[in-house]
Amino acid sequence: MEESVVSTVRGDVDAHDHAMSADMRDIVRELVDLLGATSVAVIGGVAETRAVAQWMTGREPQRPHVLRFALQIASMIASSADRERARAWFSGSNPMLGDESPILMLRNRPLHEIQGQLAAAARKFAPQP
Amino acid sequence: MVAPQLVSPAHTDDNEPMTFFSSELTPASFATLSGDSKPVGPGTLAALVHEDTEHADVLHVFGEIDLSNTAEFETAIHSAAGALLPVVINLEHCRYIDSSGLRTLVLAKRRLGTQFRLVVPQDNPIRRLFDITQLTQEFNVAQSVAEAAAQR
Repeated sequence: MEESVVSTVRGDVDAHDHAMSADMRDIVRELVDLLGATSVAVIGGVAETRAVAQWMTGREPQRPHVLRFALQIASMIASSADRERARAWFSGSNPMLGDESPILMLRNRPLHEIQGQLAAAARKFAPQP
Repeated sequence: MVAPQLVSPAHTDDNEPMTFFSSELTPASFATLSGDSKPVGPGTLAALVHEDTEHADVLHVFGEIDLSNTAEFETAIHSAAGALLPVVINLEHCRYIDSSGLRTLVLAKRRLGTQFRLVVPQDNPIRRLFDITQLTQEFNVAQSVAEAAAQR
């Protein structure tokens, strides 16, 4: 895929619509573009970036719903921050999230428990125009 | 390189099983994530991700290392080692490490010698711990994975 990070910068609703409808290979590619393969491996629950490379070529990831949601909030974050800041937001402790880091919340906890919190924190970081 | 220790296989529809360290989500955990509200199992403090690069085997650490997961940390380092390439432990995204984690690093350094490389950027709060214990010099701590891989 030749899309650059610029094309993944979206508003709140667009980010949701895109993340829920895009092909999984594109989801993974865009996440890798925004966050890097190692972060995508963490979110995807695997221990090797090799698995992430396989997802980009069509192998089905184990946690597609988590990856889709990760792209939704990554796109929101990218609307007001460059790659470095987006990566820092994902891996850093966040006071809005009880000092947990979004990336480990995505990896460790059931998605339905954290979706609301993470979306709210992302919206706060990247307010809509 | 030596294949990672297979703790729990998770099969997908086609290829070989993916490998997980014991701190990783097991197939049962995936079921939990997609189904009910039970928390996933132990080892949730840190995520360890292995990356093969052209110049080094890199182990990325996300989260915290303490007594509860140093055994997994040690296993992951051991699994990453074995080839002729250097082994880079990247603590860029590690937010906390205690004395048991430092001990694991010291033992790994003794075992791997010059093949052992460590990344702890200056702006990471845990860097101070390495400075205080004078391990910054002992480990020849690098600022980035690229710098660590290029060390001689």
